[in-house]
Amino acid sequence: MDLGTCNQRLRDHFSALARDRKDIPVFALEHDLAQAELLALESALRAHIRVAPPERNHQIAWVVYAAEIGYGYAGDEYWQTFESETPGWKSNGRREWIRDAFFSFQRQFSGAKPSGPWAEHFSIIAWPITHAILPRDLQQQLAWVLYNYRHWFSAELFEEPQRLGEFIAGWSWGTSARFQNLVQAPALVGQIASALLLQAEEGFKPLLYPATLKRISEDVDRERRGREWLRSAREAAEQRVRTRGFAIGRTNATFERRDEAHAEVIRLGIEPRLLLRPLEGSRFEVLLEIPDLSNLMFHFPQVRDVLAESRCTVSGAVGRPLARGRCLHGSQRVVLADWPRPDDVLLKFEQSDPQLEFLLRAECMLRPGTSWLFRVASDGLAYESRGLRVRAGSKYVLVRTEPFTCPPVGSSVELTCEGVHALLLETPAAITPDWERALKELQLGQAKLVEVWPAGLSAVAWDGEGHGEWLSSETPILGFRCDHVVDELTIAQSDGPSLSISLSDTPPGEPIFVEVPSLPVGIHNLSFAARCSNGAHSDLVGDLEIIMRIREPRPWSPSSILRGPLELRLDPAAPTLEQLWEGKASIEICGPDGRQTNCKVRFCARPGDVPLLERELPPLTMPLSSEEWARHFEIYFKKDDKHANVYDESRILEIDFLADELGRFTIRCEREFTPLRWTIRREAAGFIACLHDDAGREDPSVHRFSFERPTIGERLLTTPEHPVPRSGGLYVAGVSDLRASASIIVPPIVHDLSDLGCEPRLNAPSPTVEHIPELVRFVQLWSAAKLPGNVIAELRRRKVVGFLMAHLWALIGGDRWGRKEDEFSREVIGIGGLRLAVSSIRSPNGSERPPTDIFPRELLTELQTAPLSHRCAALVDLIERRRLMPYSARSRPIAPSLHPVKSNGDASTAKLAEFALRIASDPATLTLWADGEFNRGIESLLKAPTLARAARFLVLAIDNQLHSAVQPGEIYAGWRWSA
Amino acid sequence: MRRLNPEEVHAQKVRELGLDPAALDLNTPEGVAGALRRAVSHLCPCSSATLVRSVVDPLRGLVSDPEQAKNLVQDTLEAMISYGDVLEQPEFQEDDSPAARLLLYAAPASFVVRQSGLVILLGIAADHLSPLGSELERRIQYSGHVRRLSPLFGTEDLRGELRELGLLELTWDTWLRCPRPIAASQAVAASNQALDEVPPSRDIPGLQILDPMRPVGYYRGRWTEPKTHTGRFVARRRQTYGADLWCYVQLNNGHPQRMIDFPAFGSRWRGCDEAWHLQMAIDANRNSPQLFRVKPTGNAAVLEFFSPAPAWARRRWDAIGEPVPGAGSLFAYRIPETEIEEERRFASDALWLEEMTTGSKW
Repeated sequence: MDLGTCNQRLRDHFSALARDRKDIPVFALEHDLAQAELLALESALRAHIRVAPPERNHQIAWVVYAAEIGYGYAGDEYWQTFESETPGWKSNGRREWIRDAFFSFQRQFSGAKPSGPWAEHFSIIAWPITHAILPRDLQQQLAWVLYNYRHWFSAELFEEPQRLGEFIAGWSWGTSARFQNLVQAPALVGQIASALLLQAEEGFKPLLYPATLKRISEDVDRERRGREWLRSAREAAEQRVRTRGFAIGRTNATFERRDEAHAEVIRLGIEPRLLLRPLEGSRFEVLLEIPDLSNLMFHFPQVRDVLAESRCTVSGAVGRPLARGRCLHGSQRVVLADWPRPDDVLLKFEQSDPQLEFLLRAECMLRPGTSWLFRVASDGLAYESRGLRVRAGSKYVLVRTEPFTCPPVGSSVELTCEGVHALLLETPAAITPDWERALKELQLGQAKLVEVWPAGLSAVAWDGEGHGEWLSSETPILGFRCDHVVDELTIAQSDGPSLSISLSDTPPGEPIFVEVPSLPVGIHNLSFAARCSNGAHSDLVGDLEIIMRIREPRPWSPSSILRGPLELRLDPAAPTLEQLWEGKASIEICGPDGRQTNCKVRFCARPGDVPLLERELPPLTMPLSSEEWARHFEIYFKKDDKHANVYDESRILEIDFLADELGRFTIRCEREFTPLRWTIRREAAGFIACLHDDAGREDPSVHRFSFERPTIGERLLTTPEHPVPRSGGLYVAGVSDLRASASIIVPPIVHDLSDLGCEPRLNAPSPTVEHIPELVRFVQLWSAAKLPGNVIAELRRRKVVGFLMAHLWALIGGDRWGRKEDEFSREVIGIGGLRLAVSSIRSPNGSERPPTDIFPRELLTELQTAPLSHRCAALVDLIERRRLMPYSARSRPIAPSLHPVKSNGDASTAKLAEFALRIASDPATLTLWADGEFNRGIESLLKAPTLARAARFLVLAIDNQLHSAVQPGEIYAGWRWSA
Repeated sequence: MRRLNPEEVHAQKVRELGLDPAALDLNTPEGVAGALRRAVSHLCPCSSATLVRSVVDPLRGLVSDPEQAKNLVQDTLEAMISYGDVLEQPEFQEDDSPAARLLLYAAPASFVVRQSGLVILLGIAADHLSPLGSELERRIQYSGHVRRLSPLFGTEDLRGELRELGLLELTWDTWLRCPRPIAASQAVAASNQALDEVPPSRDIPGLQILDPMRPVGYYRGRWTEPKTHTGRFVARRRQTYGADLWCYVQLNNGHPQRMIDFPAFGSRWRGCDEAWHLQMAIDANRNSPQLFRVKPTGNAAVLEFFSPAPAWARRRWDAIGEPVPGAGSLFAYRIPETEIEEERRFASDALWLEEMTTGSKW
C-alpha cells in the first residue's frame, strides 16, 4: 500500500465527513477502511517507521493508526503497546509528533478535542483514546449503565446528547476510574449512547459514521451480557422516544434558581418517613426510614462526590455513621435514640457541601409540628399518619414533644427515644361524644365516612390514610368506600383529568375501584369528594385528599444488596488495587451470625484475560469486620511471596464472596489510573523501577531516597527504567505544573539476616524546631509511597517512618521527652515512666510524683477500643482540667482556630486536641485536615508542650496496649483517621 | 381515570405480575405468590406479618372470604420460604448485640438446574424488576409458588444464559442439602444431650408447646400453653415483632427448667425446620409417627402431608413435583408415578413418617 495515496484517500473521506457534520465532531475511528485495508495500512506504517521518521504527508494515516490502538486500549500502557506494536518508533518517532498530528486533524476536519480534567492530565494519550470513541473495555460498562438505568429514560433525555451524557455521568459512580474519565466529556458520551440506543429508530439521524457505529455495536454485542443489556436498554429508549417524538435540540438542564432546585427536590420525594416498631414490654422504638438518595446525584451532579464518598450521620441516631455511599443503595432504616429538633437537617455528610445542605434542608427534615400520629397496623408496626385524623375501631400512637398531662383517653407508652412522649389510643367501634371531646383536646380530627386504599396490589408504601408511593411502571388502582348513601363521587387530579361517577345504584359500604392513569415521576394530588343529592343541590358527605408519590424503580444488578440478607460494605466504594492490597480499603460483610462465606481471589493482567493467579482462601465466618478481613487477607494471601510477585504484574484484582443461597458479591479493583505511575520488575540482577509517564508534559524529575538517609534525595536521570541498587529505596517522580507525583518503595535484595537490618540517619545532626515542617513532609512522603507486593518493603517503610516520628517528637516534646520515648521503645521504661515524662509533679523534697490524672490505666483500657472521636474528647477533658491550652493574660485561648471557620474557645480546644493527636499518630492526614493552618497548629503545640506530650503519650500508650499490631494504613496500632 | 369492576381489577393486577389473567386471579396460589414476591421486593427486611398484611389489605372487596384469602397468603409465604424465594434470618445488629428478631429477606436472584436442563428460578429483585430479559420472562412457567424455565428443544443453554445475566447458580446439592439420615431415636438423643448441657432457665414469656400426646394429624390442634406438663417439648416463643423463636424446652409441672434455641449456631436452616424435624423424631420415637398419604391420580400421585415439613424436604418436592391444593391436608404435591417409591423411602428414612393406608385414623 502506498501511504501517500492512502493518506489522501483518508483526507478526502474526513473532509466529506466534516462537510456533513454540523455540531458533531469527526473522530479518527470513522476512517471507513475495511479490515483488510486497515491491516495493510498498519503494516505499511510499520515498514516505514522501522527505517525513517514519520512523514507529514502520512499524518492522517498515523492518526488513524494511533486511534485504532486507542480502541483496543484497556487502561494499561498506551505507549508501551504503541511502541511494541510499532518497532522502530522508539528511535524514529516522538510522542509529541502524534499529538501534533491530532491537533492538525482536529483543525482540518473539525475533529473531536479531548476535554475535561482527564484530558489535561493525560495530554497526549487523551487524543488517540478520545478518537477511539469508545474503547473496547469501556463498552461493556456503558451498556451496563444504560441497562441498569433504562427505567429512568425519558424522551427529553434523548433530545440533547449533553443531557444524556450527564445522565450517564450521574449514574456512573460505581464504574471504573477510566469510565469516569470518559464521562467527563458528557456531550461525547451522550452522542455515543444515543447512537447505540437509537440507531434503529425511524427518523434517527446517525450521529456517527454508520460503518463505525455498526462496528462498535457489533463489538458490544460480541459479549452475550453486553448484547442483552443493550437490547433491553434499546427497547426502553425506543419506547420512551416514541411517546414524545424524537428531536435533537438544546435545552438547559441545569437549575439556575434556588426555587427551581427546591421544586425539583420536592418532586423527587426525599422526605424521610417515621415509623414505630414494637418491643417487648409494650414499648416502641422509633425508626427513621431514609429514602434512596441516588436520584439526587442525577439531578444535581455537583453533589455526587459528597453522596458517594462521605459518611452520613443521622440526626438523633447513635452508633457509627452510615458508610460511604450507603444512602445510594435503597432506603435505610435507622433507630433514633433522640427525637430530632424541628430545625435539624436529618442527614449530615462528613464533607460539607452548601448545595447539598440546601437540598436536604428543603425536604430532609422532620415534618414541622409538635404532634405526630402513628396508626398501628395488623403487623404491629405503627406507620405515620400525616392527616392527624383517627378512625373508629383503630389503634394509634400519638407522639408529642410536650408531656401528656392527664390525657382524657388512652394510656402512656414508652418510646426508646428521648425528647418525646407517647400515648396509645384505641378508638371504640363508634366514636362517642366523650371520645370526640377527648380527640379535640388532643388536637386530633376524625376521618369520616370516606375511605380510600390501594386495590389489588399494595402500593410500595401506604400510610393507611392517604399518602402512598408507587412505581412509575405501575398503573395504580384505588379502592373507595363510603358508609353513607352517596349519589356521586368526583375524583379530581390536581395536574390532570377528573372523573365523576354516579353511585346512586351502589349500596353504602360497597367498594368501588378506580384506575388512575400512569403518572410521571413526582408528587400528585388526587381529591375524592362524595356527594349526596338534596333536592336541587347536593351536599358534600365526605372528602379525602390522596397524595401519590411516583418514583422510578431502582435498577437490579448481580451484586445488588437491596432487600437481601447479605450486605457488603466497601470503603471507599470503588477501591483501587493499591488501596486494597495496602489495606487502605475496608471490607465488611454483614450477614447471619455464624454463617460462612467462601472467598476466591483472582489477579488478571487485563480485563477478560485468563487470570494470572486464582486462589480460594479459607471460608470466613459472618459477620466479618474490616479488621478480620484485613487479617485474613494478610495471613492467607498477602504473606505468600508468589502472590506478592503476581501483584506487581497485575492490573486487576477480583475478590468473590459466595455464601450459598444467601448471595454473592464480586469486588473488582483496578490499578490507579494516574498520569505518573511506578511499577517494579524483578530481573536476575535485581529490581528495575519503571516509570510510566502519560502526562505528556515536561520531563518529570526523579529522585531516589535510601532507607539509611531517608531525607536526602539523589536526583536521577529522567528515563523510563531505573536499575535499583541492592539496598532498595524510595523512588519519587514529579511534574511541577500538574502537581502530579508518584512514589514507590523498592525493597532491598535480602540474602541473609544482615540484609534485613537498616539504621536510618538524619541529614542535620542537630535538628531544630524549624525542621518540624520538613520532617512532617518526609513522614508524608514515605507514608504515601506505593508498596509493591514484597513484605520487606512494608517493614522498611515502618522502620523509616518510625524513625522520622521519633525525631519529630523529640523536637515537639523536648529533648527529655525524646530520650524517654527512646527508652520506652527499647522497653527500658514502661507506660508509668513515660507518663512521668509528660508532666511530672515535683514534691517539696525534690522527688517526682507521677501525674496519675494523665490517662490513668482504667481510662486507657476504655479508650483502647473507643473511636478516635472519644479519644479526642478525653484529651480535651484533660486539657480543660489541667488548663493546658496556652492562655493569654485575659484568660482567652490564644491558640489559633484551626479548622473549620470561626471557632469559639471550646471548638478551638477540640481542634487543637485533634491536631495534636493526628500529628502524634499520623501526620500524613494533616495535609487535608488542617487545610493551610498547619504552621499555626505547630506554633500552638510548641507553646503548650505538656498538651503535646499528653497527646503523644496517648498515642504510644494505646499502641503499646495493642501490642503494636498495626493494621494496614496505620503507623501506630489503633490510630487510623478517616480523612 | 376510569371505574373498574372487581374482575377487571384482578385481571389488570394479574397482568402487572406477569401472569395470565385469563387463567389466574389474585386469589390463586400463583397470583398470591406473585403479589408476595412483589411485596418482598418493596418491604423486606420485615416480618411475615407485614408481608401478609400488604398482600391481604388490597384484596378488600375483591375476595369473597377474606379469612380464607389470608390463610392462603400465609401458607403460600411459608411455601416460598421453604422453597428459597424468601430467607428467614436474624436481623443484623449494628452494635453486635445478640439478635433476637427474625426477619424475612429477599433471596438473591438465583437458579438451580436439574439434570434434564429444567431450571428452577429463585429469589426476588428489589422493586420487582426481573433480572431476566423480557423474552425469558415470558417463558416462565408458574405452578403455585414455583417458577420454572424449560430449555427450548432441549438444547438451549439456559445455564449459560442465566449466568451471563448475573444470576447466581446454586448447585442441586446446595439447594437440596439435608441432614444426614439417622434413626429417630438418635435425633431425639442428640437434642436431649444438648439440653442436658445448658444451664437451668428461668420463666420464658409467651411459651407455647407442641403436645406430643395430641393427635399427629391436626398440627394446629397440637399447640398449647404449658399447664401441668412435665417432660421435654418442642416449643416456640411469640415475638412482639418478627417471627416466633423456636426452642426445645424441659418443663416440670409447666415450669421451664432448661431450654435450647433453634437453629443451632451457624446452621443454614430455620429454627422451625430443626424444630419440626425433631418433633417428627419425637413422634416416631413414641410409636405415633406423623403421617402422609399417597393418592394415585392417573400417571401421577398426590402426596399429602398433615404436619409441616422442613424446608429441605419441601424443596425436594418442589423440584420433582408441583404443589397442589391439599383437600384435608396441610399441603400436597403431585408427583410423577415413577418417583413415588423413592419419595416413600425418603418420607420414611429422612422424616420418619408413616404412610396412611385406606381407612387408617389418627
